[in-house]
Amino acid sequence: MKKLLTIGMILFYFASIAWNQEDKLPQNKIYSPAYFCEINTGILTVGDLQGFAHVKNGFSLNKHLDFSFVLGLEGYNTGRYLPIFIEGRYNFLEGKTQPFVSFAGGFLQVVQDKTYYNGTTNSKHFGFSGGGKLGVRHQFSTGISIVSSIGYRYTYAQYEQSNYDWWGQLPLEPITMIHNMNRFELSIGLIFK
Amino acid sequence: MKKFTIFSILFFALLIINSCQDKVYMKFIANVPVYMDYTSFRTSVKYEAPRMIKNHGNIYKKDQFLLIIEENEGIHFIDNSNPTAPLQVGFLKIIGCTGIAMKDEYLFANSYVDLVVLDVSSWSNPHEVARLKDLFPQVLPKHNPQYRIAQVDKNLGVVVSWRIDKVKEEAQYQPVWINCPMCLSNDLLANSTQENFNNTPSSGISGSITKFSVIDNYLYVMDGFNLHPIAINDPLAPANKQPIQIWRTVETLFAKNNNLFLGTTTGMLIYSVANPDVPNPVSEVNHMTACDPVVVQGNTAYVTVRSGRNCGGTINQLDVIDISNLNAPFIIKSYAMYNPHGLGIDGNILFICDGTAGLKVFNASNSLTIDQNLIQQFMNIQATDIIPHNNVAIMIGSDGLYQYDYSNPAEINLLSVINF
Repeated sequence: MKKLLTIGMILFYFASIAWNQEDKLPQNKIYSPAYFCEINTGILTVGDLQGFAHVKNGFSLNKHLDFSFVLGLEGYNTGRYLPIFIEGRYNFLEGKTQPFVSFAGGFLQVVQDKTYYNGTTNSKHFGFSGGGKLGVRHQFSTGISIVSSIGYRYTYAQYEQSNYDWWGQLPLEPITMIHNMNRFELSIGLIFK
Repeated sequence: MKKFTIFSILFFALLIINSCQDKVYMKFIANVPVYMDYTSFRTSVKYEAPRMIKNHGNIYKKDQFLLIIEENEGIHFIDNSNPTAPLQVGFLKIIGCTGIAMKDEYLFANSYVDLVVLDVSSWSNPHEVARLKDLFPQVLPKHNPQYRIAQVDKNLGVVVSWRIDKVKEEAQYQPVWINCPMCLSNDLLANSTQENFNNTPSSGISGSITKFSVIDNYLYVMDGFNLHPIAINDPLAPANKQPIQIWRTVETLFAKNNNLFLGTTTGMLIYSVANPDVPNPVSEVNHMTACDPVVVQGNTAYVTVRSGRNCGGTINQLDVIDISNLNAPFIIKSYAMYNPHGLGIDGNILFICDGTAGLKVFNASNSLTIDQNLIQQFMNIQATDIIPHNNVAIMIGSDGLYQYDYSNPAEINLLSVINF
């Protein structure tokens, strides 16, 4: 819990700094339609505490709308996954500092199985994840912004377990295990434009 | 103010998310219970016209009548006044019946979770006179062992069968295992295949494969790991006593004098019923894991030990056990068999249902040379259980009910066959 509070405080501190920055950069540099790259890291917590890292490649359509393709690594108690997401972000205001709301979702490809049959029956292990975030981004130099956010994430993970009788001899129909996970997401990152 | 609002929103969001615990579900193909409501179930006992024997269970002889259990469905009544021409006279429908015993004119039968008492003073009009409800609360019908069992809700009624379907259930910490020796209560009382010569004249004679036994005014029923003593001095008001835990897989009960001989998958147990309410362990003879009905005559117990998928083990033999001192029984000798099931003994004539090797008849007067005294072997029969009594051996096999005249042991003759 202390760790959680500390992370929250840091994020809030970053957000406050960003909020109070004076706008010194020309507007056209910030908002011109352009490709961008973003790296993010953070934690997914509640029920579990795992880290994640995302790399986003996207396109800013206008002053407010960004779309990106997300790859990375996410941890859950069922395993580590490669997320393949699509994210849409709406930026409010028009200054250097912009609060935003974003929605992302997509497929989770397992890269490390952590289920009971650790690595032996993960051929049908996959997941889906999606959620929304509230955050703030602040451009502190030409082409580089800092971004922090807080949000909710729902994750569905599914895998098959081999199934045997008591004696371990008679193979039975496999069991499909389904995990419905709710996570609180805290993240911080950099945007390069 | 703005900061306060943001903090408040974040705080409540955190609280809401925190209350959302992860949920884990299992999706699998399972034996899904099919229920019958309690009222219909408890009014379903009915005497009907005779029907074909399809899936036979235990056999039981009482006076001139022969009873054959149709597993989970009821009891076939056969008038055996003339063993050369037995006649099926009716069928008593008892849902979930797998075991029976009799005392005087009362028939005791299990019906899934209940024990039913029927008055058979008129064989043509048997009717229910009492019922012990929920005596076997954990009993379920036989399921397909290829699949797990879906969650059972007893509030919906009695589980009378299963359908195979895909289910999604919240994951349990204790999975329902299949073929678990500690979970055999799922098939409670089923497939009991033991021959029981009850020692009171008012009782009938059971095959060796049974989990019901009557001693004087007590009925003993083996239910999973529980041995139920039930007082039946007033059959119209049977009283269930405190069950005794037997931590073995008991397959057969055999009553002799004031003792119960329990055939378990790991040996024979002897319990004294000197205090009929509280059977007490006396002694045991252990063997490798296998199925083993037991019969007793005089100071000798005969136990067939059979291997197989449901029995485990790799041995198939006949154990002859000296029980002259019940506190210290010992194996006199073991004889190799093919795949022995039920057995019976009358005088010195020992009958062994040896699976596909058929029925074997031995002279057992010398316990040390039984294998050298094979009187006769009836091949081409999948023999499972037998009642030898009054010179007529009633044997049940996979394809029919066979009766033999052994008044002259040197020349045992087939009297009749009812084909299934």
